[in-house]
Amino acid sequence: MQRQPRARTIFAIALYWLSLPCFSTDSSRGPIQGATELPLLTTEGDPATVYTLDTATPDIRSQLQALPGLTLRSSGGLGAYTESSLRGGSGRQSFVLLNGVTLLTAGGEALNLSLLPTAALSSARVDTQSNSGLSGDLLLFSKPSSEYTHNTVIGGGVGSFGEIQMSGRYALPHDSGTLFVQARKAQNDFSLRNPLKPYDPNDPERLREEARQNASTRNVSGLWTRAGQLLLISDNVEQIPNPRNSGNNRAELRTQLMQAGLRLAGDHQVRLGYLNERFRDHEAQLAQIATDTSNQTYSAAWTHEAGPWAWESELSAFATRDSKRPQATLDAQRLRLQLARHWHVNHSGLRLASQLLWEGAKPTSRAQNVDISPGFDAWHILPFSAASTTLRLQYRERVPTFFERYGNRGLFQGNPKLRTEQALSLTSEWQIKSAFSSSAPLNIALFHRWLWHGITPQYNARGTGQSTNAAKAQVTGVTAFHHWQPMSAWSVRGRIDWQNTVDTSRNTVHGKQLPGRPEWVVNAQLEHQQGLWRQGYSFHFEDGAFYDSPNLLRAPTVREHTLYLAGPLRLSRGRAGGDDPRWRVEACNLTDNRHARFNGFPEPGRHYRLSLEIPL
Amino acid sequence: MTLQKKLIATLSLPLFLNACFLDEDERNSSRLADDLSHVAVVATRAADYSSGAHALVSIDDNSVQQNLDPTGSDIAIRADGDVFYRIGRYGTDTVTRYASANPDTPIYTYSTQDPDDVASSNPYDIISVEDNKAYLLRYGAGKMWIVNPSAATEGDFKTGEIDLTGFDADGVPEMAAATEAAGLLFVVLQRLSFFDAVAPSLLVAIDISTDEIVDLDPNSASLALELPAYNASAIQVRENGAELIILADGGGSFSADYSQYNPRYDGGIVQVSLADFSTALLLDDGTEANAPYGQFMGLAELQNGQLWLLAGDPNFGGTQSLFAVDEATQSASNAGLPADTQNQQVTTMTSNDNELWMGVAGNSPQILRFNPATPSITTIPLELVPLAIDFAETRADN
Repeated sequence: MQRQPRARTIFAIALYWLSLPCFSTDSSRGPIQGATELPLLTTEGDPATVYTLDTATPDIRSQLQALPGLTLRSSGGLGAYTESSLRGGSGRQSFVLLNGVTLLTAGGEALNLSLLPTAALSSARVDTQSNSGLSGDLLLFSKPSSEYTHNTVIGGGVGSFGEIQMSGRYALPHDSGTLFVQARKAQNDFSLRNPLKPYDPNDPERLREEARQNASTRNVSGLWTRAGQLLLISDNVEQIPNPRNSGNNRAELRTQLMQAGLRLAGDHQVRLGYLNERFRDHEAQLAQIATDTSNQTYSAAWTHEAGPWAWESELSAFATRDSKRPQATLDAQRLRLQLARHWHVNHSGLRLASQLLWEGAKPTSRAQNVDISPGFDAWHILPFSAASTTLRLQYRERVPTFFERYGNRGLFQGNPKLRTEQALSLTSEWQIKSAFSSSAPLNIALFHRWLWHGITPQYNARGTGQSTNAAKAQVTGVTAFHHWQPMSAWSVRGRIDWQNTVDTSRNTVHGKQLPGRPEWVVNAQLEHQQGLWRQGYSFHFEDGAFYDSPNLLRAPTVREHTLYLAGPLRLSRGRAGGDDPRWRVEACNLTDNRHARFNGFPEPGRHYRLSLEIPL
Repeated sequence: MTLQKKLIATLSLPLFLNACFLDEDERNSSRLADDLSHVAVVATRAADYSSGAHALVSIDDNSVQQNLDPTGSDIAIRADGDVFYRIGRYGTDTVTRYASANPDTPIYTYSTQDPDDVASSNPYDIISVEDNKAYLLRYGAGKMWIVNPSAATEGDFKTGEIDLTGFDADGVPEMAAATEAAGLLFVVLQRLSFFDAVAPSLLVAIDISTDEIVDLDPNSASLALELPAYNASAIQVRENGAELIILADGGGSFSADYSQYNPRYDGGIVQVSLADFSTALLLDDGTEANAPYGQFMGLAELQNGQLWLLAGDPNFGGTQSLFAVDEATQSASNAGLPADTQNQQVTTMTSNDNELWMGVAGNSPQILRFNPATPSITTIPLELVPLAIDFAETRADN
């Protein structure tokens, strides 16, 4: 049964006002830690641990895969398209924020993390408390300029498969913020076996490996950031190999992102963004038809927080052009208004938010949409002597992306009638004080999420497809994270996730695991630091994922071992040790584990990297 | 021993002696006939196209072996006696052979790419004409391969090629379907431009003994016969053995905003005489303003010579229905047909003796076995969506 907007309005208003007598505003509680970095009214619970990233490596996957609850999927290769998902959700069900600014994505799809200047990132955390996304948000932070010991640092590195990267950081005078610039490229011509190559009498079993074709990536990005404000510019070009590893393939995806976030006096935040994504496949090497499409996404948003209230308004627009098919043009606009309020009583709290969305698209024959979507968080904190526990009930709705409602991809068409998908999450988060005084608490989260009207692709008998609200799913999981320092020079960081994703739709995949979600994820990092020398070992493991919805194609197990060694390069005796250039050597995926997180897009095997950082 | 028993023993003796003195081949033949059973071989895909596999359905008891040897979703199937071929289409470009008695273990997988192919050869079908000879239709290439389907090594698989590049201006004539009749291989060419059928389809014939192209239309400069319809997608020999029937769906194009696929009603059921290669339009699909059946999608003929048409709306949410073709009035009707054969998401249709086998998509993928004579319908549920169906033999001792 399709719920009508009127019924949803009544539901949202009723939920909002019914709760008023139950809670009173506790004005004595100031904003919680980190609240100024979040885009909209924050809820409360135990602040989750902020994880320090290993910024010495330019590979964002290596940086982030220690985060509990996070799954990264990449199209294979250094600097290649990488999207994040949280706690069994999809890439579209979470947002990525940089210094509190929600990053713009192409038509509302998942964010390509390779757009970001990795050298600028310093810490990250998974937010399942104040999140806007159905399954959580990924928060990324750069370090404030005051925390750097040198005003100017330049760096560079080279690695296997044509990897070259250069970066610079400059702390502007008069506390005017920090400027980061980064350029990197990789050829990604790693060896692979090609079972689809034509018959070769000299290699009839196709055992001989060949270099991966048309897989290079390059990115130039810059970031200026200062106390809640940022300006991000990124230009990313990624060639896209095909499964046959064709040498004449020229398909590529170019993404240009410009985004600004300004924090004004009185807790106002303004965000402006522009993203252009161009996909070219002139030789029809990826699909049966030559393609040259350009998608532009624009966004302007204003957020204001005042005590327990918060407002947010966002105007976004989406335009798509196909130079191969001039008639295939589309313009769509969306206006979103959100009102939220929170209440606190002792250790409990409630936040209610209601979102109104108006949408229109040209050609005008398409339907206009008006959506009203409510959401809430209710939480209660149980303070124990040895542990702190937060119980949380959360309801979120996700408005379909522009692509899902209006996208044109040949035989796969947007569905203007698509409704929001809805999720209810029940979470218990534990912070258990460690027996070791020098260690951070052990973080454990148990969660269960129900998804209704999930947006999923469907195809008819002739192969024509659309997204529909047909999916139902349940996700149950446990994440655990601990950062332990057994001795001052040693540090051990570990993450273990288990999740069970079940498709509960009424079709033949009922009871099957959702594709692309590993059942087990383990990440362990061991580091030893002595003086200015640092050496470490990390291990990453993923198992139990399937590429497909019927669970017929099981993804290979990921086992990546990495070793690194870093130290100072003494140029002169007169310099202080901390002023010396620092070098770092990494040996990644030492056992040459061959795997692919997307079917047909393999990750690189064993590779090495040497990098140098010079403070000026 | 009673007289009756003596009589039986006396009469039985020659039968016993006959059995003892049968030669080896005759004994094997007799035993194998007892062990022979028939199966439907079905190419299947996931509802979201994330994977594919094949299934075997017993014709005798409808038992199913499914999700065999999982792979990608763009696959086709072709049976030949007690073996069958799974064809990996766009981007996969392989042919895999299986024994139907051992259907989840490939005998071989061979590439359909030439070393100098710049695009996917996109193999569509393999038509066996002898134990050691078959023709491989390569939809994305200009040259059809002659192959030895029994080749023990991949180097022996391709034995020749037939150049069809001259039949389309872009050099890729889109060889979509083929069948063997009267010592000739008949191949339909769609001649698409940018996925659109901009010219009538062609029929070419290959002399199987010489692999030369036969002139089907001496009155034209081309060796090919131009069909009175666009986008031909299926061809078969009629039960009477005297004619070919060809299904052409007419093609179509997207609307200005790309939101709607508009079928072009330039299709129909075309009959070609094997005596003089004259053509006749048995059933026209109408016009945009008046398309009584929708876009044509499937065609099958039963042993009694009755033609059955599958037609409907190709757009998302559209369904297909079954029609009985009346050749005398050049019309089709679905009057009186079971509801299960109407307004379904039918993916494929084929015939086996007196039955129609229809693949159905949706939340409950299935095969419908429809016997119009009885009439009766049997439903065979599957986990994946059926894409194509063909019929093979299987021997218990294989």
